[in-house]
Amino acid sequence: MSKTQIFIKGLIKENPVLVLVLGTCPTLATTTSVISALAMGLAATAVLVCSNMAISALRKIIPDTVRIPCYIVVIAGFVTVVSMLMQAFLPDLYEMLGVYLALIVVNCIILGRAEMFARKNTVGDSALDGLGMGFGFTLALLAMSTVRELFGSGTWAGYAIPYLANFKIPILTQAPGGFFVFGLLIATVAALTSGEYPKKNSFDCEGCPNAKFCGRDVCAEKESEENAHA
Amino acid sequence: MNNRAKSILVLTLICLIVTALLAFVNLVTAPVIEESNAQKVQNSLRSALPAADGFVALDLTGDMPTTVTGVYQAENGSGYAVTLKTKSQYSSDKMGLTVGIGADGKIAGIVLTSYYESKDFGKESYPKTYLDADADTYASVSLVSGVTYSSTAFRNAVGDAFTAYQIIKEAAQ
Repeated sequence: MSKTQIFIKGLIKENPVLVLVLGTCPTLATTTSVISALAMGLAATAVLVCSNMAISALRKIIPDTVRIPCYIVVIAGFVTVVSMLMQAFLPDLYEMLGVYLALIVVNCIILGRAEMFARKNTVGDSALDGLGMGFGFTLALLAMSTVRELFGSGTWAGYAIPYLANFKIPILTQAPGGFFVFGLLIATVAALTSGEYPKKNSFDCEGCPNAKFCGRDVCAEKESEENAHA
Repeated sequence: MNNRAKSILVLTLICLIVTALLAFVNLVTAPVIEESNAQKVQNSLRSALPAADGFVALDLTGDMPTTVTGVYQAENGSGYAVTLKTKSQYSSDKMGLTVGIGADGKIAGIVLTSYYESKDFGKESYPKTYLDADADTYASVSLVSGVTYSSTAFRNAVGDAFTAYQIIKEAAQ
């Protein structure tokens, strides 16, 4: 896979939010406003790039048995660094993101990319993957927050939009509206990509922490069932 | 080196390196955060007690409620401002508020200086429901449905501000 492909795949084809359906919690929580969505996207991108690079650099040193605790320590470290820097230099954004900034630690995208990509690839490729996935996450948040803020609050990034400000749909700023817009965007991306999703070998048994216990036969059974249906 | 020893060593080393990194970032950011918080407190004092022309920090006595972090007297005698920190529901960061109590013993203004919960009880609107309440009437202000834990903590903190106000008034007499 070329460097460009590594970077681009995260934007649409393997978009972490709209195709892989990872990081749903911050996606729903922070997309009520464009500013908070952008801040969350960029904070997660910074953590993703740094943690991917660190994990890739340490991949030959970290023993397999403790790799998940090591990844969590590295990711939590970078999240705390980003959190401290935001509190010091961007206090308004820090307060806007609230508890969701700290929750980047448990964002599935970050641990997922560490497990699926960074631990098998070079530092440069891992950085590109983190950047692509981070921009894909930010892009998805931006699209979703634009729809929710524009039609839910009649504003965009805090600026009132003349006509829409008089015809708000407030439910879009609440949880049900979030799920509704999320579903619409997933459908749109599925239509744009003709419903293609990442090949199964992206999620093979090699990276699965349960493979040791299931005997690597659960996925094989599922695959044979799918083939039978096809 | 056997695998178990290597695992322990690597995990310990990673923890130590991450700790060192965090200590360094804390060294750089802590003074900036402290300065920013102090500025925020000053701004909140002015918003909570707009009639004041300046503030003098008073010493906290031992009887003060534990939530009270500071008591300030307006230089022109227009009242007192009390800063408080109280535990809200999920966040480890405490909720902060500044309560301005006028010379008539009524709330002149309340500012929520920090609130990190995911459930918002109306950061701007809820504090305004306490305006003009006094030590006898603040408890009758309604809580917020669905955010009862945090709004109860907020109301109790307002009560603590009145307790601090009483202590300061009695000490002054």
